[in-house]
Amino acid sequence: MDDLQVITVAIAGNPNSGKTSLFNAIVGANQKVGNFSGVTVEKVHGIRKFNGYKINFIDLPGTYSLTAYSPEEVVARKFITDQKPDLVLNVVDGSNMERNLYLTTQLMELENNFIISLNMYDEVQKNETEIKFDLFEKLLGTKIIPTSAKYGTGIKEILESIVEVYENRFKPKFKAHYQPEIEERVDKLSLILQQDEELLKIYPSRWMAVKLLENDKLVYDLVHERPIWIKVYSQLLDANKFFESKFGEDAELLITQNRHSFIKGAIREAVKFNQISKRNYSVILDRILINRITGIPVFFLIMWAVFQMVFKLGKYPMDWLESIFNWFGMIAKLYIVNETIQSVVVDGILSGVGGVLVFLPSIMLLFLALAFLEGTGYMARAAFVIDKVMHSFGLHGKSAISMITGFGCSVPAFMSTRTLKSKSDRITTLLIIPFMSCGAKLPVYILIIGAFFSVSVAGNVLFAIYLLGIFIALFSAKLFKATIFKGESEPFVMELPPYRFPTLKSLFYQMWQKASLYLKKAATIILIASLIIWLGTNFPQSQEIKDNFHQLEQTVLESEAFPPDIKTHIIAALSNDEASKQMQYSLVGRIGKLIEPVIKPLGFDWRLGISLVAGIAGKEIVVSSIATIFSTEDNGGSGNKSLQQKLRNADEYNVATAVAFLIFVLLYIPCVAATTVFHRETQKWKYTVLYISYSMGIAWIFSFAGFQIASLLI
Amino acid sequence: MIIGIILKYIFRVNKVMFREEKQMETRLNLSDLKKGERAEIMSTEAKGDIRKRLLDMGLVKGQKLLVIRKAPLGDPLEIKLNGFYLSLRLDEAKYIFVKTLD
Repeated sequence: MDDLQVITVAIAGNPNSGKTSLFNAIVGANQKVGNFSGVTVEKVHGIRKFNGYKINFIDLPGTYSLTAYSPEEVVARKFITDQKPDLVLNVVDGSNMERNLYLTTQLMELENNFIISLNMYDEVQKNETEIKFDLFEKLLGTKIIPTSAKYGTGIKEILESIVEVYENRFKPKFKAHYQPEIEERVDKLSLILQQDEELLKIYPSRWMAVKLLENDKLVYDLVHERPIWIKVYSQLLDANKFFESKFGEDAELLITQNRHSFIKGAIREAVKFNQISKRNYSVILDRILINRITGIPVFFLIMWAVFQMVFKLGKYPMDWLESIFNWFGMIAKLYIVNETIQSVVVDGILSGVGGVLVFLPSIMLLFLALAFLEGTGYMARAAFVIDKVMHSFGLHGKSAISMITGFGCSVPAFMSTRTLKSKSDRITTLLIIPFMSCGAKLPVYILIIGAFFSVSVAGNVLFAIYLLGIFIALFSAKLFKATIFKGESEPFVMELPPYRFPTLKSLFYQMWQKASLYLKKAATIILIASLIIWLGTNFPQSQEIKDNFHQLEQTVLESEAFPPDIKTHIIAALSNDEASKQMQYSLVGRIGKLIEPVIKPLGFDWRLGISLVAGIAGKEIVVSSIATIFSTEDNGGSGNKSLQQKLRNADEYNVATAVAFLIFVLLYIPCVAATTVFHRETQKWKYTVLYISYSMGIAWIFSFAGFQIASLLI
Repeated sequence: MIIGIILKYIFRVNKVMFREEKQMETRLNLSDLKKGERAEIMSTEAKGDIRKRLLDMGLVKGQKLLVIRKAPLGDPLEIKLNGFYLSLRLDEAKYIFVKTLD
């Protein structure tokens, strides 16, 4: 079965060229997702069997060019040059050949076998564009196969051509497309490079020569290390001097210009456009969706709709999951007699797994929505509309989408930053997302605000908290851009693609890819981390406290002084008291007490300290642990009147404490799940450490300020 | 030495004045264009990555373009060239010098 010969095919093409749809049409459900090593660029690959071969397709990230500009480009290029696939399948958007073929010219230089899929051919035909395929193929030196991923046409021809090239029945030719002056210099450089045999093993000399003339970073760094560099360098200087004097331009510009004129020439020869007004509907839609007046309201309306869909609609499957896990818990309680094992299974493992899965519906729905926005072409428009605001804080237009998602949950919001191409934009956005107050913090706000503020101001306080979060997020973005990412400004040069209706298939696959990435990459660590925190909250347990409780319980039960209903009340109170004492005895309780000196200036005592430590498992846990410590039954958290009463009556707390506590909960590190996903997304310890220490520092400073100011005012 | 500094200063001022004059006369920024204006690129004077990006997207000398609109808040800019639509910030458009076409 597995002795079939494997052909490796890399699929390269512009963003929005229908590359991924074509990939899906070829391999179907037979695909897997992972990361390219070392970077958070997704690597999707899939296998299609054909004519006795196993063809392994790798869907490279969509790029406009193969310069070493963005991580996507570096990945795509390195895959072709270093992994040397048997063939590159270049997907070209037939309705936008001029721009798409630029990448093709660069593929031609790479001297790797490649064929062209002229995709969206249905649109080409609809526009009555005539293409002389024979001539076009001759000009580009390889096969050009018309395809339509939407209708699944041309797939068989693609597969046949791949085999044909693999079996050497067809050999693509690599044609030069530079003016003689450049060719001459490329040849000279190429000859020098050929003296270094080690170098030749890595890349073809002609390609390196072109790249060196183009000031390409990666090839420069490579050749720079070689003894041959001195000769290369003087030849490069000489060439640029020559171009400067003859054309008044440097080699980089000339080469780019040559590529563009080659494309223009080839299209002029082989393609006849008959219909001038193509994508009319896109122009009309843009007049409505991104015009001066409606642009911003439409943006917020769409973001609101996405948010509602992800978090309101996502609540139903989350509730189902929760009831399934509760049901499992009940079954476990019935069958496991030993109290400790029962607690491990129910509160540890089951709630841990539940805690991992609970994020899944919102991740899937969010990425369904993002794939839809990206696929229709609105995503680029959203960035276009809001970019000015975001840019004034050093961010990218697309950061706004991740930040808004952060109001729901940081976990999917972190994952959504993958749409940001520049590293500094992406890391900065990741670092500020936690300050967007997530849904799990709301129960804490409601508890504290309800306890310390009158109903008339409660709404304003809640609003102020959210506003403070946004303010600190934007302020932090500015700070990061001015310090650690100083000078790393990335250009905002982005295509506004024509509006299209994405295929359901590709929406589904994209959603599924994100879900499986989350499950594969984050789930186990989240599970382990929540287990550790659970262990810390429940262990060690004191036998003495337990015995004491049982003794008292016994005394109450045996005493004749109380009627039965009062007895149950007393026992419940005793049991709550025991839970509180056990929690203080546990590891988390001890840490909470240990940090009291640090949080004293914020007006917190050890009880609030314990709840904050326990809250690292999940922000909503702050509420339940306060309830436990204050020996109160946790009945549904937020509407807990008796707990609010207790907090209000505690002598140690006042409004200033409440203000400081609200600020601290808003700003301090999010839950372990979010922190895990953050680390997965940055893949660098230095950023995770920065993120933890920065949010802790900011939380302390602002809480302290809030406490002091509020103390002065009351 | 003082004379040297003064000379240098005068020289610099002269250079600045000269350059401004030259720009005023012949060169126009892409960022200065209004909605609906057509233009041809004269030069792309960015450095490094930005330059590569602009060139890759086809913003090379001789390329004709049409300004479609500015974003609702005035920045970025949307232009049409080579049959596709591109948005770029005014900061980046400043690097592109154009002459208007009728």
